[in-house]
Amino acid sequence: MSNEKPSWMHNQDEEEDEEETQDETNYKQMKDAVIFAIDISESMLTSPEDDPKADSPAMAALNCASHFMEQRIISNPKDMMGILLFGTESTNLNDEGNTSGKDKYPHCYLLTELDVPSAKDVRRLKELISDSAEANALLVPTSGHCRISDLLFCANQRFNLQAPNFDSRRLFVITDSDSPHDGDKKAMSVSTTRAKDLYDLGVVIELFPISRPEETFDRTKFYDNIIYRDPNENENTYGVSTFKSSGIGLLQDLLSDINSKQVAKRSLFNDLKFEIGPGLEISVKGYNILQKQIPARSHFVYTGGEEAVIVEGKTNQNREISQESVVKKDLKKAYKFGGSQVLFEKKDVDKVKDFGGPVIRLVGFKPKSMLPIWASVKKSTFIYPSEGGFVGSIRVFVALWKKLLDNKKMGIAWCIPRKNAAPTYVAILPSEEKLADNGKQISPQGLWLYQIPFADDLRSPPDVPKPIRASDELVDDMRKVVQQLQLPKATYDPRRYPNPSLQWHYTILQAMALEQEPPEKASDKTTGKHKQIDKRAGEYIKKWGTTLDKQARAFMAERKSSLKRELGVDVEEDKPKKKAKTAATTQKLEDMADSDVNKLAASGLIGKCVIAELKAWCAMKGLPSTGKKADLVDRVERWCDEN
Amino acid sequence: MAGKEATIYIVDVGATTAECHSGRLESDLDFGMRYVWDKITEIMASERKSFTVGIVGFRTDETLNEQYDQADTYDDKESYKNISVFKKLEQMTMSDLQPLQQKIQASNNSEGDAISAVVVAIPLMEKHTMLKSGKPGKYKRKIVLLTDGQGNISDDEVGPIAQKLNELEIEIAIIGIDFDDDDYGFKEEDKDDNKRRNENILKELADGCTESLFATAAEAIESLAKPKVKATKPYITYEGPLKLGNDAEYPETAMVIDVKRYFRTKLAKAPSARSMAITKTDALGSSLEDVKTSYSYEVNDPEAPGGKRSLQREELDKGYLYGSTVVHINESELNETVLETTQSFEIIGFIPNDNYDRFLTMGESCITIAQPTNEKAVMALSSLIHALHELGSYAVARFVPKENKPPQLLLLAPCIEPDMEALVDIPLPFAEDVRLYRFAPLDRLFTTSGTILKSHKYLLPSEELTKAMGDYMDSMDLSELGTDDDGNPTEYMMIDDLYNPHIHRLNQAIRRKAISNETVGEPAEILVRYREPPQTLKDQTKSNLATLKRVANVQKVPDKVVGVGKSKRRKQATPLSNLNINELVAAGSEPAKRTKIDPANVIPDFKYMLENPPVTEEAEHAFFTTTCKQLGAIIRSTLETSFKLPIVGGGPREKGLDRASEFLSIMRAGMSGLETPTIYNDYILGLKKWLLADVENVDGKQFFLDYIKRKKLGLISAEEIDMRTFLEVSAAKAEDFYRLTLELPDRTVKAEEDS
Repeated sequence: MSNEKPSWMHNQDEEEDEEETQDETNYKQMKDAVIFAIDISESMLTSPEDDPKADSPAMAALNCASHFMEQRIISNPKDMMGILLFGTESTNLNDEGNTSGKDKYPHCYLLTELDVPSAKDVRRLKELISDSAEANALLVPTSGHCRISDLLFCANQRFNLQAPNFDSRRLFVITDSDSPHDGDKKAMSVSTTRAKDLYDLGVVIELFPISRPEETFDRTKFYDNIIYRDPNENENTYGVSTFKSSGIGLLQDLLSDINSKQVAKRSLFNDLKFEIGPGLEISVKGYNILQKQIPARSHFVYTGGEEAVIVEGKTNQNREISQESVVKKDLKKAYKFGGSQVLFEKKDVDKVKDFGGPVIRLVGFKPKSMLPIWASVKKSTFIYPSEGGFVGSIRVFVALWKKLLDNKKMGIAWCIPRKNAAPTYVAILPSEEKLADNGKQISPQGLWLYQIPFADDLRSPPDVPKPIRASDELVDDMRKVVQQLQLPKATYDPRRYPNPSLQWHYTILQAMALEQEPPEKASDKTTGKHKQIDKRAGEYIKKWGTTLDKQARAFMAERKSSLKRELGVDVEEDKPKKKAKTAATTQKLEDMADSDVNKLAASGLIGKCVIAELKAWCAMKGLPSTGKKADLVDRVERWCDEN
Repeated sequence: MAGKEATIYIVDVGATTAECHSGRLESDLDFGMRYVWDKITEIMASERKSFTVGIVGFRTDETLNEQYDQADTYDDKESYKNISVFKKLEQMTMSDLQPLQQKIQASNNSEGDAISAVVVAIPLMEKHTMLKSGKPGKYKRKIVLLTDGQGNISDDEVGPIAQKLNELEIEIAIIGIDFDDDDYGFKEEDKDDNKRRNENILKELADGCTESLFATAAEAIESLAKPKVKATKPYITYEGPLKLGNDAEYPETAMVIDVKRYFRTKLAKAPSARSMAITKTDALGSSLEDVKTSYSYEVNDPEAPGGKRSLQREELDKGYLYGSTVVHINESELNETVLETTQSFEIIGFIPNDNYDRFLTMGESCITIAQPTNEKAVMALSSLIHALHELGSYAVARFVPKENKPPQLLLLAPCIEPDMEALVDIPLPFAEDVRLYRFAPLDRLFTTSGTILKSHKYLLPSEELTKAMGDYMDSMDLSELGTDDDGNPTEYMMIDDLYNPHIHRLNQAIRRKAISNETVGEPAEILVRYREPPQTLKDQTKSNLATLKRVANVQKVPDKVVGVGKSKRRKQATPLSNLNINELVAAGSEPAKRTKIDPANVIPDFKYMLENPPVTEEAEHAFFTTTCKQLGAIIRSTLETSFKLPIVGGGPREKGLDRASEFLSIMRAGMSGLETPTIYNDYILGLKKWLLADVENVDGKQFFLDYIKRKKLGLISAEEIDMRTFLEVSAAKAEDFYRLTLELPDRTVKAEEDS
């Protein structure tokens, strides 16, 4: 345990991978707070006519919120979320001292306080969704009128008090009423000012409008007056989507739209200079669309108090000999060299990293086919044009994107994405838009910066004997197998494959946190569909296997006889004996065929092997390679029994 | 690659090597030693004990070698005179470096035979690389001879010596300063006859050896620039069956092939620096001391002094966070959250190549070959590889490298080369790894009413622009710009030519610093040669680029557009409907104009007031001052309230402090944007005084360090907002502000501004 790294210590390399904080907002916390504001009205509580069993829009919204909450715990464990119902009969938002007899935020009900969700919050929401009695008791629409200004100011207060200094604050409004003030000019004007307040507070309002059966939701009636967008981003104009409350599609549609807002859209870099040619520059933003999700690290906890708490850790740097703590100015960077240390001053460290300012500089173009499939070292970064540095960036970017697609080419560029980042060469690859079945975007149009490996990153493949090329017949047999077993829609769609170990980790944690029984078996969509494979391609695989057997035997017979011809019969007869002898005495465990290992185990001779051999063998077989010799021997023997 | 290497450098230090030739300003010795030092430090940088270095000098003032000591005859003694063994074959360390640098200086002597020096080196090599058993060990043996070709060289023994070198498998490299080399294109015009004769003798020696190199120093030095890529042994990441289907359940209809999987790419890492502490040893110098990291643990405890209680490692357990809920896990349960898996490599399906987007790739690639000794497996894998290749398909596989490791999904691609058939794999993303950020499409626009536009004057490219881009693209083609070994056009910027600039520059800087304490210079040309388009392309694409520039008509946004000068003040933000909110308010409808900051709505009120100042300029400044005063009072009261609260991670106290710091940042941004930085600077100086006045006030000090200093909320300097002429707070002064003393900086800023 002593040499284990505490959870708060981040690995340098990992750090580099994380999203970098932007210089201009470094006084902000890179955290996101989302409040779901769900309209509770008669129409929101009515299930669609054509399918009375389906969720009402309000229940669909709560379902989405619940799903969002569980997702958020996995993907953004530090971010906050809250749920605010509006239009309800009751309110729970009066301060204790409020004696005025008037509600502070009439018809607003805070279902979940804006905070990092707890296991209790998750459970409460799930119970509300599954227990209709409780839902009916709580979700009572007011007969009166709920003013949007109250909702907005209420949200304002939650953000202000609960999420101070967050760099991202978002209010998701889910409603089917496009004119909540019904022509009341005064109420409308108060709401627009309250919306401006939210804008000034840095809150982005996202509207999820639901169309009622007879009428289409019209944003221009009211909501366009309260929603602000950055004019430099040409993304506000991404179509107008409204959801139809009819049919069962609502939950799915809503879910996919809300999910696309799961992570606050933060850029990796802003207005980075993209030099298309000497003297022709545009500006782009970068986004981390791909980000490997892994379970959050474990923490040290202290259980001596009333409830378990996270322990804060501190690292202290001490001088090795005197054990005194080191003053920052005495800390220097040194590199190991020739059994000694070479000291680098700060200016040296800076200088050696300095290859000029941040830029993507195009060096030229190559056909797409010149990027070998193995030439891969890192995930790619998505870039999208911005007019922030150069006016006209968008049109030039679009022209480049179009031509890359048309000509099946890629750009090759020198890339320094941030100040002091080590330079890399990137291929610039265009992407076409991909839409889901419901027409929603799942993959955007734009360009990707794909890192090309350096010569330093290449590993030489092992030396192998000259390949034995399979016969055309055998290849034909295999081709039929391949053709039979296409993935659905003949494509790899990541959305179909949740990470089984990540999901399992959080399923177990959730069960532990809620003190429930964990499920018996993990759901794992990544395993092969064995039954289907047998059904669809079984016959072909069998045929291939027969051909292979026959041809492999023929090949070996042919080689044996040619060997005989070369060496003469008597030599050949002598040889195998000798070989078998040496094999038994000097061959290392990891070089032996499994059958030989089995033999060795059967004769109880595994114990004769040295520990290093046993360890290497276990590692090779994917077994744990730790422990005492007896454990290792035991493990090998057990493996032999099972196989 | 692992293995042992022994290298002996034989260096000519004759008096003539102090001269400068061929227009060089450094001595011939220094020139030639550039090559030797570089090679030696390269060996040192590898930190390998099994890489040894020896150094022999000839034409030295003194004589120090066994052959001389043991020679019986006068002639024998003579021939080994003026040859000194500077260093026997050993691992080279930093402490060896300086004495050697002192020894390798041009001597006052011109006697000493190069070939005899080789004879001295041979037994050194032989002895060092011999095993205890008396057999030669498995070594890479190399002798490098550096000479200016002056002095006398005897050619009697060249043949037998070459033979001996071959026998011992010693490679010899002869580096001659200003030696002629037709291939490289170097010829010394005023070469004297003696040197020409010597060059020929040495050439004869090189030619007599199986492994030899004969080069002029200039070429050798030039070759140093080419970075050396570290070779690594092939590393097996998996060995076992590759399956399709389940052979346990369906033994007849499952495919099982024994394979081995190796790394294909692996990101090379730059050497990492260690933290060391400087220790003053005496007045003259300082030394470096190792730094040990220790960990301490604490929890919030309102009853403990300072609100924190420290804990010992033994008192702690492990746990995870589920949202904000702490899930405590006993040591024995730690593995419960780990998904149980068994080692496996199985294909789950196939996809056509065209349906895979390259940018989805998550990282480094590996290569899978059939178990080489298993012919049947080789044949089986070959059929899969060829089937995939013929169909233009990839396989998708699930891979578990080891028991209970998380499964990965891999894309397998066929790879067919003359002497290798393999499957290359790259990692694929899972559902959670792809973020659903939505972006407006590039090729069409939506109006607010939902209409689709296919052309737009500013946001979509005209046909002319698209065509110009296409022409430019064609003229910037790299696919045939390079030249291969036979002089045929080939791809430019091949992966093999791309060196990691950072790693090699750092390695070189470390070596240079180690031998000569040079400061870091500019990167070597070869490391940055691809940082811009090649000159030939730049020339040939000129007119295409000019056209593209003209039709693109891109305009740079001036550097400081936000918040410079009152005239350019932030454009009033409007909602999507373009409704003017402030007019709405001004028109007298609700709510009334705000003149006082509501403590419940601080930021919006403050921003509103800044956007709606009085009309006259004097009134405006006074108004800003009073507005900031109001905000300032709120900040102070927020701090006062928060300081009284107990420390609970993420609790009301922390939130209060966060809020106060957000208010500060809003005030700072507002004042620098409106070019009234003095108002903020005055405030923050006052606040600092208030926070630090009382030495006992730990909270105040903590807030100053954790918030004001860390988030850079100090003085606004003239440089920061480009107001050199008006504001006398320099960047240095602004930096001084962050010190924990109250004397700095003084208030003259204010005084001058007022007068």
